[in-house]
Formats: sequence, structure tokens, C-alpha cells
Amino acid sequence: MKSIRKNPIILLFVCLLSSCIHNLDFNQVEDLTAEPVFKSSLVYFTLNQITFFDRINSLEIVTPISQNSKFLSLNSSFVRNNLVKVQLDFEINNQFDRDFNVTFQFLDDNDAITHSLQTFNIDANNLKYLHNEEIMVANNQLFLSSTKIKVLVQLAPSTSGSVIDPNIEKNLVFKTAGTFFLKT
Amino acid sequence: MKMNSRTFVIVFWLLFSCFGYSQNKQLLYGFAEMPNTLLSNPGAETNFKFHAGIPGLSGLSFNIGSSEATIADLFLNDKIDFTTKFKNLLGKLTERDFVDFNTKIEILNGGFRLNKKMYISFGLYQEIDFIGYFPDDIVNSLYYGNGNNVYKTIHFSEIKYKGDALGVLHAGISYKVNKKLNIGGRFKLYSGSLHLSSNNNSGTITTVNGDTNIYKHYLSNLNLNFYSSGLLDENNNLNIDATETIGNFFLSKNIGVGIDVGFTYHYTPQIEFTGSVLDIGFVSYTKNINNTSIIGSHQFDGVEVLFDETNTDYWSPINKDYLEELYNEAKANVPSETNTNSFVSWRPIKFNGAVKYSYGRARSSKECYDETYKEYYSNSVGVQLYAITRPLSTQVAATLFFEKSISEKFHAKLTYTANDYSMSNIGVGVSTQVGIFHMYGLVDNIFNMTNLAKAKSASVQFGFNLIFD
Repeated sequence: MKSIRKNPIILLFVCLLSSCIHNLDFNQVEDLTAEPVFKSSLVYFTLNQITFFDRINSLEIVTPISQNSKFLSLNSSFVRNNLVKVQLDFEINNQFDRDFNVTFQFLDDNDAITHSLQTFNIDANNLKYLHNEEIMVANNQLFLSSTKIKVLVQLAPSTSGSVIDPNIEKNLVFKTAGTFFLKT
Repeated sequence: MKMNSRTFVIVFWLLFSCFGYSQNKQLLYGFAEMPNTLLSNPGAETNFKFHAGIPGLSGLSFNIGSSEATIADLFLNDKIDFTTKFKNLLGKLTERDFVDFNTKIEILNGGFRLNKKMYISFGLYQEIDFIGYFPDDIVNSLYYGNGNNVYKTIHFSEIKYKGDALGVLHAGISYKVNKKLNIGGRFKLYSGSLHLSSNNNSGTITTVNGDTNIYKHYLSNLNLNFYSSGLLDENNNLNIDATETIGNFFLSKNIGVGIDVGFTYHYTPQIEFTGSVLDIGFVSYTKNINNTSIIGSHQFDGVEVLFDETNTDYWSPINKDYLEELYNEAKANVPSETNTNSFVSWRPIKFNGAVKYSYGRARSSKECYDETYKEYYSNSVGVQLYAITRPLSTQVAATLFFEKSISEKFHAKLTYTANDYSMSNIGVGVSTQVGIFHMYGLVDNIFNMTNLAKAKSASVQFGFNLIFD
């Protein structure tokens, strides 16, 4: 009988069993980093002439009008650990024959300001006012406590003495989008 | 990104390094009239009186392969930044790349010659089969975000995977019709133990320039379906009962049936055609079901800051929590439902075909079971074709082979296999018999066996039988 030890199939198994995986380091996975960037629409509104006109007294409202609204809570540990920067893009369409001043603020649960952007001065009939603003989180830790946004819109006084007519359809269209830069 | 490295390696290697063509047993198919070839072609010819597999060791196969990546691409200790390697890999993979994993362990395997024309074979084996495609859009959008290309459409149809763990009780017959033709069939009773699948999904995320805001995001026609059996509890938590899982390989309520058919045809004494179709069948899963469906559409263009036009002094305070409202609206538009409805899982059907030309020193049939007294040649060459039905498309492979009978009891086979992903796959197989003790070993992609990390595929099969001539 042929000796099993001399059988080539044994060599095959030896070859197979001696197969190996060379010079691998699975701990490299700990070095994996990701820097995803997410874009999303944020808040928007459209205001017409009626908003700025007191029908009862037939007077323009030139004091700032404001509104608070809930916003994304940024106070999670994931955001705290990984959010690097937020870029806000503003696009404002002013169909009024009047200038506007718009202020955009972030507030915490107690309505305290956590971050305030510069006031936008929007000229009359500027149909595409563009602005973007970056918030570096490392320099604005308070920003992460934001839970609300506050918008103040002020109709600038007329320089020509003209008064807005609430019966004419004209809008102030306010759009924003955010770009969130993360690093994990 | 902190993650347990072991978990990551397992998940990543299995899911993303994308192995393929693992079930193609091109080395086993038609090789040396071994008993085990009857499982790849029930119409294969046999030339022995009786065989019995060594329980648990008569046939073991482990297959894993890569359509695009290798382990070395990521984990070779080459001082290259891991994130760079990861990004390079993501850049190479597409939604057509996949992981494919298959193991088969024969618990019992036996057979006997009923008469000169018929050989009966039967047995029981366990099989674990999984294929998962790379969801390219989803992985890239999670890793990179949508910042670089906000308008890119993300397709949920790329979610495709299917896995079964089952026991197969089978019995087959190989029947010699005449001196030229041998046919065979095998009946299979499947007992499903574990199942997970998701296929025929649809839906997209699309972003366009909006009217009311800068962007408008659409989640359109989402229709996702996830099926599982034996894996999840009612709370969707992974819950695998080991005892029950093992028991279900043999006698579960998840029953299915299937058949294999095949033939061998001698066109001339030297030219032989063979073919087989395997696993035409299904498993009906009824036990420990946990299915989830998510269906609907939703659109989002941001949070509208409302005001009350009757209040001319200030916008009225808004009491609604907009985020909660938006979340509830999204949930209502895209509801998720869980059910325990039974479902049917079709087995992946395998097709084999081959033409073989034999030449060289001829000898007669070793026994007289073969009425044709057919000639055995010391050499043969040929071509094999293989196909398997898979969720995305049928996969095909072509093999050239050379078979050499060094003696009556020692046979070797060399194969070269080509498919969409690999053009350099060389396999080697040997089959030998010492007395009644038969053993075989088949190794595919032999040149990469010394460093599996660089291999796109690896396949090993071996087994031990007792054969009585």
C-alpha cells in the first residue's frame, strides 16, 4: 500500500495550512477619520406689506419686529465633540421700495443670546442680497447651547416721505441654508 | 471615529471588501468521478459499488472572494495613512461590488449502487450563504456628507443583501439511460435556521433649488423591506438562541423543497458534455419572523418662521415646537411597520455546463458496472461555464481545465477561471484513494494562498470518504 506520508495530497494540505496573512495591522482602524460636510435648508419666511402696516392707525411699523423659533439643538455630545464649523448662507429678496435691517441671533433655553450675527442692511429693491457667515465652534463654545433663533426685521424710515401701501403685493423673502462641517 | 476594531474588521471585511464567485466549485465539478461530484451534478457518472463519507468530514468547503478589494488594501502595515487607504477603497467600490460568503459542511454522505444502471446517493449538509452589495450612495453620503455635491441623488435601491443558514437533507439518483447518456436528479428538503434579506427596495433622496428656501430636499417613493427569521426579537434587538439555531438546521418549521438535475453525455468516447442545474427551490420561513417595512415620501425645505398678521406689533409667539412637528410630519409621511408575516426565500439557482476532451493513454473501465466498458484516458482538457442567480444579476464564470490521471487512484486537476473581477485565478485539486480510504483537496486561487491578505478570493474544499469498488 502506498504510504500516506508520501502522498502529494498531504503536501497540498501543508501548503494550505501554512497559508498566512502577512504584515497586517488591524489596529490601523483606530486612525480612521472622517470629515463629512452636510448641507441643509434651515429657516425661511416671507413678509408682505401688511406686516409692516398698522391698519387701525394707518401707520407704518418701523420698530423692529421679531420672532423666536425653535432650532436644532446643538447640545448633544456628538455635536460638541465633532462639529467644527457652521457656515450660514443667507439669501434675501427685498421687493419693497424701502430698506430693511435684519438681525439674526441664536438664543439658549433662557432666551439669552448665544451668538449674534452682524445686522444685514438690505437696500430697497435688492432682489438677491447674499451673505454668508462662518461660526468656528472652537471659538464660540456658547453657540453650542443654542436652541432657538431670533429674527429681528426693521423697516427703515422712508427717506422720500413715501408710505408703504398694504394693498400692493410686495414681499421680503428670507432664506437660509446651513453647512455643517464635522470631524470625527 | 471610534469603533471597536474587531467589530470594524469583521463588518468591513465582510461587507465592503466584496467577495465573489465563491460558490463556483469549478474544481469539484466533474472531477475524477468522486462521490462528492454528485452534489454538483446529480447526473455525474460513478464507478463504485458503495461509498460512505466520514461523518462531518466528507465534504467541507469554505469560500470567500473579492470583486474589487483585498484585505491588504486596507490593513497592510505599509505606513500609509489609513484614512487615505479607506478613501481610495471607497473610490474604487461601486454598487455592483459585493461580499459573498459560502460554507458547506457535509454531516452525512453516503450512497450505494442499486443495480448496473442506478446509483443512489443521500446525505445531510449544512450551508451558510450570504451576499451583500455595497450601498455606494449611502456609504459615501454618510462618510463625506452631501456638502461637495448637494444635488447628487442617493438611491436606496442599492440596499441588497441576502443570507441563509440552513440544513439540507437530500437523496438523489444517477441513472444510465444508454451507453451515451447518464441523467440524474436530487430531491432536497431544506430546513431554514437563520435568514436575513432586503431586496427590491426603492426610493431616493434628492435636493433641488427651492422656491421658498435655498434648497428643497425630497425623500421620494421610499419603499424599504427588511426580512429576518431567527435573528431579532420583537424589539428589533439581535437575539440568536444558539441551541435553537443549531436545532433548526435539522428540523425547523422553516421548511422548503428543491431539486437538482443534471446529465452526462458522451458525444464520442473522447468528447463528453455535462450539465446541471442546482437548488431549484425555496424555503418558507414562518418561525421567529421580524420584518420591517418603511414606505412613503417626504419633502423638507426648512423651518418656516410664522407670524400672525392680525398682530401688527410683533409676530405672535409660536407655541408649537417646530422640530417636533416636523419630525411627526416626517414620521407620518414615512411610516415604519414591523410584522411577523411568513415569507418565501428562493434559493440561488446554480448552473453548470462543461465540455471535456480526453486523450492520451486509455484504459478500460475498472469495473463492469459500466455496460459501455468506457475508455478512461490519462488526460483531459475542457471548458466549464458556471452561473448563479443573485439579487442584482446573474453572475457567470468561465473555466479552462486540465485533468491528469497519474494512476488509477490518483488524479489531479488544474483550472484557470475568469470572471468580471479576476483574470488570474489558478486552482489545483487532487483526489486519491488508498485502499478504501479516499480523500481530496481543492484549493482555488493557489498563487495567493501564501498571502491571503492580497487575495481577492479564496476557496478551499476537502473531504474524506470510504469507497468500495
